[in-house]
Amino acid sequence: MLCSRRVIPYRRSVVLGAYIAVAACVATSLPVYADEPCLDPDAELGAAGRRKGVQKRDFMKRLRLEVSAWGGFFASDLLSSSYDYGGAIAFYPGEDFGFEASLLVTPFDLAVERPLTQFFAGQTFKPSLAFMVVGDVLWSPIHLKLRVSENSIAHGDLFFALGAGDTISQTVQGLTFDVGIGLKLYAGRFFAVRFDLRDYLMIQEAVAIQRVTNNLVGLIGVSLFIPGPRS
Amino acid sequence: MKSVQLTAHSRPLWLCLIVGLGSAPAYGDCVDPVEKAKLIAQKRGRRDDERDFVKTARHELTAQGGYYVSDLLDGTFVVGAAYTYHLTEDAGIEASFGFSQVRSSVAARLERDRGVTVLPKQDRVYLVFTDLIWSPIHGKMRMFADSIVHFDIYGAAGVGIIDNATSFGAAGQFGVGSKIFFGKSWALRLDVRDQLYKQQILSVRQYVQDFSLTLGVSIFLPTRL
Repeated sequence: MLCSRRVIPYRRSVVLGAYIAVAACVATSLPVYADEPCLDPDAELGAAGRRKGVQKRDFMKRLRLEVSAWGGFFASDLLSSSYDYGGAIAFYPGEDFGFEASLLVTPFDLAVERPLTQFFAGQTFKPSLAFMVVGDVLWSPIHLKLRVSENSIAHGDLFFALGAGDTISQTVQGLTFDVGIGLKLYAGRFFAVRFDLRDYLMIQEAVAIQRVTNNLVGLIGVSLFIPGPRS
Repeated sequence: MKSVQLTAHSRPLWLCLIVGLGSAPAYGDCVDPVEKAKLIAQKRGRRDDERDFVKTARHELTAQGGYYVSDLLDGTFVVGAAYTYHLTEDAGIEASFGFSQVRSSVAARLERDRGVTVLPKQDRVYLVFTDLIWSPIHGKMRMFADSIVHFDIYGAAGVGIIDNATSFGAAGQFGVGSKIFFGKSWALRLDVRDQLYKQQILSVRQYVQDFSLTLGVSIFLPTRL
């Protein structure tokens, strides 16, 4: 007698059911990848919300010209310490390397001789202006970020300078070498504030004393980068 | 052949099948932008005690040395030490001592030529100062691929004594410096200081500015917080 219910052979149905059950369990146990279209992989938070640290550079120097004006102190080894001022032009073929031509103007004087001029006629050392023209290689291997207030972070570069040139002064002979370290803090896309600390080595003569001198120079300046940043 | 009907013992199998086939891919919720902004703000404005290197209420001992450029005399070396107590992350008080030996090749030549004594024979210099340290700027820099180093930039101003045969004693000092922190208790510091005082050579008194550039190593105590 035929029944109205569907009839399936017993063994086949058991096997089929087992296969389907296993398939269903496997399907439900597969890892489900949550679709998160609104998460930006370049966002500030990295994996699991961890800080990414120093990442991209907001200020690019590559293929740009830097024009600087600076001033500061000139701590002379042989002569009297004084002020200095000047400027520099630099070009950056890459982010980490650049070439700079700089000018530094400072008065040369010998104050230690002054007490003697009151007792003896004449003055041996003649004060004058000295012009230091130097070409440098700049290397900026370290990029940094500074927190100056609760919501203000400034980007900057720590750089090293090494170069040689000439000092236009009657008291200096031969080449002038300089080595130094500096810090550039970037403001906007075109401007930067720079701090330089350099040692100028030169053969200097005063009052028949001639020797190699180490002159410490501290500079603070502003820079303009032209043209705009390259991609 | 035994036949199976859709009875009670086959229902679990079919139920499993329906549940398995009915499990659609799950769509995870997006990160709540409000919570994300809150988390970023929390990390940006971290409290002082959340810094990687904490200076508050710690004692800093420094050994330093460098180059001392006198205004009237020749450049020479300077060695010294300093003790700093950090009241807060931004403010501290420093007591420093420095030793140098000054000379003047120009004065020696003048003495030989003129037959006079320009400078006294005693040529040692003691620099003792007390400064206020203000560290408003904290930063970090990437030195190598995965290495991030923290540092401070600070200013210093204070008064003290320059003990030397040509000095009147009282002196003022100001300068800037940078501390680079390593680990939890070590730091490397670079200082540039300007000392202003009155100096007398023969009968002429004048205000002079001496500059010093020093590099030092600091240890912070206690070493662990």
